[in-house]
Amino acid sequence: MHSTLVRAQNVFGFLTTVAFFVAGLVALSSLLYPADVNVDVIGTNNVKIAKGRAHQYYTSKVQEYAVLYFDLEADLSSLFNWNTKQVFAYVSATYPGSKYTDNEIVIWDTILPSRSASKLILKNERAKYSINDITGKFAGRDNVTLSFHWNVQPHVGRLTWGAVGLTKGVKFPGVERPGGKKEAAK
Amino acid sequence: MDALGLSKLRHLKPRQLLSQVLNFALILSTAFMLWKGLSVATDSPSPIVVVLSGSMEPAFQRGDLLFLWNRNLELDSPPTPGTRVGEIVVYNVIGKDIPIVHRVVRKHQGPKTPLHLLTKGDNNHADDTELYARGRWYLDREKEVIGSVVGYVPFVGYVTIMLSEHPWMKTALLGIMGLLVIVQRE
Repeated sequence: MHSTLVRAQNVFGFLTTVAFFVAGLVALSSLLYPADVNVDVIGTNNVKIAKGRAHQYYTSKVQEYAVLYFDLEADLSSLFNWNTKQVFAYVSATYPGSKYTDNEIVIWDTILPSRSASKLILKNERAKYSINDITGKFAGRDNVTLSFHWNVQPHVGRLTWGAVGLTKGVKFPGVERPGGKKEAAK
Repeated sequence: MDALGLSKLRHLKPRQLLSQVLNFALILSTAFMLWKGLSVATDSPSPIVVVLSGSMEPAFQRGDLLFLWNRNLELDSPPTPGTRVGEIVVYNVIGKDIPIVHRVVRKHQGPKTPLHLLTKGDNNHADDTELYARGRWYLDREKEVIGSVVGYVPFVGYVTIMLSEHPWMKTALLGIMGLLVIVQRE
């Protein structure tokens, strides 16, 4: 009954039980820290549409790209508590269409590893990713809105998401003349 | 026979032997029913997955355990909350067998088209277009995605990676178990 093996088994069993309960309590403790995110500004007043090629893929299809600059001021420090591993922050553009009526694409994102890096102040920031539609056509789309989102990644437990700061719908302009072509293809 | 400790079995009465077998079958079927029950509850063929690559670092490392939820298809009515941009989904590309855990960066949906998603690993520079089946630019939410990540436990799944990547460990594990059977005999 009291062999080394039984003792080892008991210790290991106790260890896993304790680890399980501590992890459960840590996961639940996230509920004690309500998120209070401040987003002061999100907006864009600088959008151009230009034709270009997506040269990172094996295709020579010419499509319309939006070249977009935006402003953002946000303070995400309240999302950091002892069970926060990182916060993934991103800006998305939502727009309607005819065949695909419901579209949303991420135009910029960043990983915030700690509270000290949790304040975002972006002025006239260029979109990080190329902005093109599944249909290839973009010009003249009405009611394009930008929104700011975050995803809290815990050390253990539930992942949470949040979003604020929908801009009023802006209209994408018509296609630029060949002068703007180079910039769009970049 | 004797070295494996099986001689003990010969001394059992048939009734005892049968109840042993029944016990073993009960344990197996309980585990199986728990897994399948979770599968039904989450509507996912594989409700718990182990992270295999570092493409989502620092959020997920190899060996982390993820809990999936697959009842957010949003196939009929776009206004209801469903799969959103910024969610982390697990997908199996048709014809390939490795589940991939990446973040949704684009979403295009229409009344007559399936929900199209584009994904990207946080730690990758380019999106996943090259990982998809030939000629495909987007994922089909219903056919290829097996769930969205809702819960996270670090490191626990590393055992399965060790066992599948280092086959000698399986042998070692079996050896230790066999040894225990012999040692345990009193």
